[in-house]
Amino acid sequence: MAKSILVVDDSDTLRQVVSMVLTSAGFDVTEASDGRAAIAKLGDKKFNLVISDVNMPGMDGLGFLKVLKNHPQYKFTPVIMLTTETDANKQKQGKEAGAKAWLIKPFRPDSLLKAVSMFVQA
Amino acid sequence: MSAPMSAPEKKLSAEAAVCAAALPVFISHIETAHAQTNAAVRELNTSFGGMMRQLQEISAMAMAIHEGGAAAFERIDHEFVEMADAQSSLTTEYQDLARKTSDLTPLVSALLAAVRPGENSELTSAVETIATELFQVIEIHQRLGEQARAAGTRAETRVDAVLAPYGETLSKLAQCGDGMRGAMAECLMMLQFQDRVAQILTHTTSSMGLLAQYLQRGHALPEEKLRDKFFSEMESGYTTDEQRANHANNV
Repeated sequence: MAKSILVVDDSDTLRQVVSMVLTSAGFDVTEASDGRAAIAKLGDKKFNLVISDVNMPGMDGLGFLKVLKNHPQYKFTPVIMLTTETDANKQKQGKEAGAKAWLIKPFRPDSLLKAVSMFVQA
Repeated sequence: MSAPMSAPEKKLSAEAAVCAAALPVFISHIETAHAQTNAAVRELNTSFGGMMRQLQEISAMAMAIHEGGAAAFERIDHEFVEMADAQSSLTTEYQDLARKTSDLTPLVSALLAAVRPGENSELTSAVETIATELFQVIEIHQRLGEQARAAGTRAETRVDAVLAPYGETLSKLAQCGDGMRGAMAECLMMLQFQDRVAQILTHTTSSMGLLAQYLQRGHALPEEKLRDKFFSEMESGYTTDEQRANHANNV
């Protein structure tokens, strides 16, 4: 059975690109447009990995990450932050909140798959 | 000497100064978004052009395979017919071999019968005949083996020659496929310009809105403090290196 990945990003284009790369590698992808929408989807299925943007309207990526890490089912689920954010302090905050990796956009499809493969295999 | 400014004049002057300071930053952000859009669209154009050429090559190769296929299979069929003929000749030789072997059976029986004492002349004759027949059988066997090997090698060489251009074409197709995959990956990367540009423009428009709020809200701050407060708030929302660089270069 394909591993499930939750992709959280407010940009439709980015979600499409990320989904295309992941589904072509054999993953099952669910999309959410911000932190709140992502939280609403957590009960739909058990995700093996979460990829989230940082700067989003509504609930941002770091806020979502904190909620996720307090969720009994997702406490140990790996999270990759995929963002244009290059600020070292934000990266530090993300790592402290439990993000396992921090990828900068624009990303190369093979770089994303390499980062994903560190946590889940298709 | 000019007269000192009234409080409303001071306020207006401070606001005008902040607006004047903010404008180059806004312009710079918009220019960055414009430049990134242009660069990405240019690169996408180039990539799509490259992919189109590769697709044309793939299409031409597929057409060549399709057109050359019938002729190649005809040649292979011809090789198989020749192989079958050679096989048929070998079958005749094997039948001959079987006949010779079965001829040996009564001779061996005769040999066994002649083993009795006093019948040595018949024994000698039977042994000579068997030896001759056996020698012939061995010769036929060796010849058949050589012929079979030669026929196999010949057919393999000919079929390889027919299939060789296909191997090259398929290898080129695989290369084109890899090239296309690389070009697609580049396109997927370039398409992400939309996200960066959207972030820059969204932040710029929200900063303009913020400035408008500053102006409408009314304040009693001197120009420098108003400026610092606004720019500090604006800067806290940056997410990309380009935004931070634009800000540093213009403030």
